Amino acid sequence: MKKNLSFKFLFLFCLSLALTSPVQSAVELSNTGAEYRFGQVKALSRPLSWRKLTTPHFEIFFYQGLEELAQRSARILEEEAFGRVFPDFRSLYTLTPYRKIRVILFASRKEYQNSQASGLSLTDTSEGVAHILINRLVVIGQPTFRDLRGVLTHEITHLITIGPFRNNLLYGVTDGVPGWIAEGLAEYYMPAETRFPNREVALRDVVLRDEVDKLSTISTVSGNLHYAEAWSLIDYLARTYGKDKLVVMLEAVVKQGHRDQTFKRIFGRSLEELWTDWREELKTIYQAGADLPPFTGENEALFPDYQSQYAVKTGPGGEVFFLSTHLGRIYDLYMADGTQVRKLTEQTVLDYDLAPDGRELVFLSDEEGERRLYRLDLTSGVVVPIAAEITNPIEVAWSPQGDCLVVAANLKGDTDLFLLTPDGRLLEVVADSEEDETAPAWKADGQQLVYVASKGSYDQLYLWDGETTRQLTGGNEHHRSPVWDGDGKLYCLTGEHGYYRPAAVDPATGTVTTFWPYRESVLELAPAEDGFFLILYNDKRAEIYRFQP
Amino acid sequence: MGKTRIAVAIQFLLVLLFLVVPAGVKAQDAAGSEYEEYRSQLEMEYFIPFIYYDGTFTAATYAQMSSILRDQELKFVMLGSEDELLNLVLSYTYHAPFWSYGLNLYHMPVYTSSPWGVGFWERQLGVSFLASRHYSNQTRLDLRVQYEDFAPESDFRYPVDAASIFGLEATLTHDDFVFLTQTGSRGYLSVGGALPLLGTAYQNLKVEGDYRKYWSRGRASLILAGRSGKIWGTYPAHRGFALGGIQQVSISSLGTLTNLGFLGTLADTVLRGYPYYHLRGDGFFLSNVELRMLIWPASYQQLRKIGLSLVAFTDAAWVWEGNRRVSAAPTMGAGIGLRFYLAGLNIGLDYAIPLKAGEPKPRWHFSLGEVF
Repeated sequence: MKKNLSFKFLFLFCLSLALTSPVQSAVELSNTGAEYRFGQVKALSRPLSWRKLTTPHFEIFFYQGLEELAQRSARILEEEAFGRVFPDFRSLYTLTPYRKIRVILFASRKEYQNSQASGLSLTDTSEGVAHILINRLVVIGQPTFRDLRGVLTHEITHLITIGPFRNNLLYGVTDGVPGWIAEGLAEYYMPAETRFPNREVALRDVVLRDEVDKLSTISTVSGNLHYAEAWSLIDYLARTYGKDKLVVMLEAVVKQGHRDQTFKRIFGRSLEELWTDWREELKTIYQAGADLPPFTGENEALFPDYQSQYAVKTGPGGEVFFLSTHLGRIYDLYMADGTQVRKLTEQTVLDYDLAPDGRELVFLSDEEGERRLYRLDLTSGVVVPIAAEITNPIEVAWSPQGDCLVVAANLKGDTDLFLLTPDGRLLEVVADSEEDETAPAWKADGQQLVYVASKGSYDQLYLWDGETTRQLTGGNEHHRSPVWDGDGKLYCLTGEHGYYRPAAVDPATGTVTTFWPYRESVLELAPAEDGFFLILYNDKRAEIYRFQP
Repeated sequence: MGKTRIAVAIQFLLVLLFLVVPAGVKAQDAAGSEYEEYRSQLEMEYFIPFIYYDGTFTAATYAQMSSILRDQELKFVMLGSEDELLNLVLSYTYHAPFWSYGLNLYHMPVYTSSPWGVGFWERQLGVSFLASRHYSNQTRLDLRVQYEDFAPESDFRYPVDAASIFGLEATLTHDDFVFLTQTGSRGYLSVGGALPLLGTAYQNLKVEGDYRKYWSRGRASLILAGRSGKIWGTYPAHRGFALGGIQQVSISSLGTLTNLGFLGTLADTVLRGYPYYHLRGDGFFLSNVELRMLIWPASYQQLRKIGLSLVAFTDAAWVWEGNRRVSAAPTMGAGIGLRFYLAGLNIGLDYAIPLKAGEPKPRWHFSLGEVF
């Protein structure tokens, strides 16, 4: 009987291992949702008509409306991602080329989260996922061409670097690939300009605090910081010992284990020694602003209960609007009037802007599957979808006269700027190069518009006056997040290597003058009556502060 | 030929099946950028066989097939050994745009409680067909048709049946609970019953419902729960409603026609301060009030791998058997407890006092998984 019981428990144990999470029925492995007493289920907002595009190394699966994105992704995958990564890891493959990689594209986060294909939870906030065992990528069609390049290259790197060891992982024959190596390689092979800037901001912050994580912590890969740390360490190893050592390290770690001997054999240094060497170098890289006083030492965050905050804007009555990840979603829209903070809509909001009179706002959401524009009456709370003549909006700015919207939208794989009436009728194209044009900001008189586009390796500001466009800023620093105040003064954020500061920009000459004597990196700024609202990155949080220069 | 040799033979057949099934959509040769329509077809994802022989055979297999978009999935778990019956579960799922369909075939032993609870082994052989209409992430309608043959394999403190049952069920579920803010509500209403078809003997109508409401302020959360059920007709003796302790496995059979396996994500009936199966009947009403205080970390948004909560609670139940009330007055319990959150797993330890004359002493209750 004892044997019987232990055998049965073994069976139950095997069954529980077979399932990714505990379920209520031991005898039902189907996945309809009906097996669960409570819990939320994946629900599509619309039927998706899937098609496939085949290239030499990929099969790209996509659905209606994503034809241009699929074509653009095919070019990125073949010409950039595969060509960039595979040659360095060719030695891990017996057959070249090996079987095609499946890439599944989704139009929005909502459809990605609600797909069975992603295999992820409804609250997952990743941009893509690599299913190593089955040689498959699932990714969100990114808002910008730059982000699409980055995400596709990142995920492809996972498959190319870890894929050869899938049988080791499946059968537990040897150790797996630790998170810091897996994500570090994926970040390292992304083109430099496609890495999310906020990740390096997070890295700089811990370097200045002397709180760089240990390898075991980095390997948990639970946020931007760990991605940046992993990238930085791999980058350090490649620069110091040679890029060719990366494939040697990867294979050795899988086959010989993640232990000191493995690393001593390759680098002549133990893991702890490598970590220490890297940490010492970090201090020399992130010196800018290190000697300045901390702004957060004497100032309090305005909304500490609302976790990370984005897209801060001010209303005509002094209200503060912002997006938050407070509920674990990307994002929820809040309005703070004094100390009262309230959520404005149940829909997730990706971007928004206020009408000049402050009585309503326009926002974009993927709540219905694809990204769409909506108008929200702030008095009644009524939300009305806008029947826009362009699809896939990314950002929106309401003109100061209230007669039109400028919408950044991704129609052909990169982001362009379009002028629309508030009810969605297309008026004209503002910018539609092969690169991304983003972050549109109107001057108070409505006669000029500033936006961001890349020039070489850096983001720069461009000024559009309704007829012509000219480049406003230049040099070897990024210029991002432009905003105008009511007096016609132009501001932006400038910097690089994770340190970004507010600056005034002369619209005539493009001269940039920074005004931030503090050490924290600024993520956003919004003019207010008596100064600015800033979003600062500080100790793993992005929060709104009030700042008077 | 022993049962396990049959298992080994089946395992080889499965290997053959999984290898012979064509490998999904055949890739078109790279010829420009022609689009193809997507054709859903099963491909092998994993096949993990295990055969062990030390004088007796042991064979185990876990296998999964799916289509590229995972709109179809086939899963298989099998375990067999010398002198044992063959144990297997085979499931197939198909996801249409708004509906999901599932078919389950199973033949296996089920322990009718959590491993630390009071239960017995029951061998179950059955087939279930599920259909679920997903109106939104929060709201769905589930339909179920199920046949099951069951027989006890170990002793139990109460009489249990060896029989078969055929039933239908419809359940409307809404769940908008938000973990990070500890707010929202959960509830379902289910109507179902058993029909004397396919040689089965039971005939009944069963209605049941559950509603749980969550409020939160700062670190504190308040949960109010109400649950009720009634069966009219004949039903297996051990599949009525049972209350007492934290019944994490649904011996009460609420919400389904069969026992619900183990380690459910939410507890079934919760009447703390009393032993398992303290009250049994064909009708009941249960209410719970729980006040939860997050001790560490400061908020659920900061919760990573480890967390700790303190709870205070009171439970009350009324149970009927036909027209007879099983307990003369509401059966109540109250107490305090701790909830440990370890890497996504809730571990609970409650100390409850029975608020009923004649109950000798307080009790400890252990739980794994979310109680509320």
